[in-house]
Amino acid sequence: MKCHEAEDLVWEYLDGALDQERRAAFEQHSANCAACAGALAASRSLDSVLASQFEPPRTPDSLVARTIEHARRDTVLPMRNTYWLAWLDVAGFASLAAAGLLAARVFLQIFGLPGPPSGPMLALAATAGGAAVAFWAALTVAFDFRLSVR
Amino acid sequence: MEDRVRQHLAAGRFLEAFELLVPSLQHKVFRLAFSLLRDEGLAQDAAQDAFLRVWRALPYFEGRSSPSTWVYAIARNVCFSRARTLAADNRLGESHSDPPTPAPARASIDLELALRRLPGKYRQALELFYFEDKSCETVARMLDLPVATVKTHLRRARKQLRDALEEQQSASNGPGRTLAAGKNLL
Repeated sequence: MKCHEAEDLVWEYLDGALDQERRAAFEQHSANCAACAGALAASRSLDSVLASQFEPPRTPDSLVARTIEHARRDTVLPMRNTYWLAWLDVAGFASLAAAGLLAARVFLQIFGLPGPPSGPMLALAATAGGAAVAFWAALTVAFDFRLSVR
Repeated sequence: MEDRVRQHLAAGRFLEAFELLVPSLQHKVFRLAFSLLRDEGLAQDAAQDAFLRVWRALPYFEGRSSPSTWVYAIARNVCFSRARTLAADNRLGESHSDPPTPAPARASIDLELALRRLPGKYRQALELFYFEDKSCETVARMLDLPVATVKTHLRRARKQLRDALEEQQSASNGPGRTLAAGKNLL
């Protein structure tokens, strides 16, 4: 091992990041080279000082308890989390669209304006639209409530 | 821990996921905040704020990274935001003093000076490296940097420190003594 190679490896050596083979080569070189031995000693000294300088600050004991308590009391609660729940919104918009069409159809019929055939089809459409709206509202409320109380 | 957090999230059990995340990441998030804000009180507030944001964002965690990496990213954003606010407050208050730093209990004033002259990214990598028991991989995850970049920052930081201390030592002891040749670094 050459001096410049040893110089490159000195910190990896001190950090324990060298494999056995390179570690042995480094140690052998340092044992036979006064300059590299001096550099190693200086680096080791700096390493030791930095380790004491950068002693980890103590995490406050209350951090976990306070954080979890805060989350429990948080007014902004996690809501929908899954993509498939977004289909509720799609269903909601579809229901609203159906309800709008239904209202337009009723309006046309009340004022005697020409429109598609009425009778059983209208009743069926009204029932389907109403059921869709109710289903969407019930699912949305139920899921939002379930997720909100977490 | 990460797998269990993912399972809870997939099942919509956010509180259970949160109660796993906070205790297991509290130290790292706090140290990350401390390394950025240089003050324990500020770091505690920032860590708590970061966790609260994590709580609110849990339903939107998409799993592209590990939960811990995601938490670190949120914590970094909170800390950067607070650091900017602090810097702006200092400017408004015409206070040009340095940000609060822990008292140099064991280190010499020379080392403290040399550390202050390091670029922020080098100092932060160095600090977290020692905080995290010399794990480049952990530091890389906390800072969202490649491991090779962390190693480069560490190498440059320590080289700059050695050079600076060597200069200071040469200046105080007179010419002819160099750090590489001497054993008394500090």
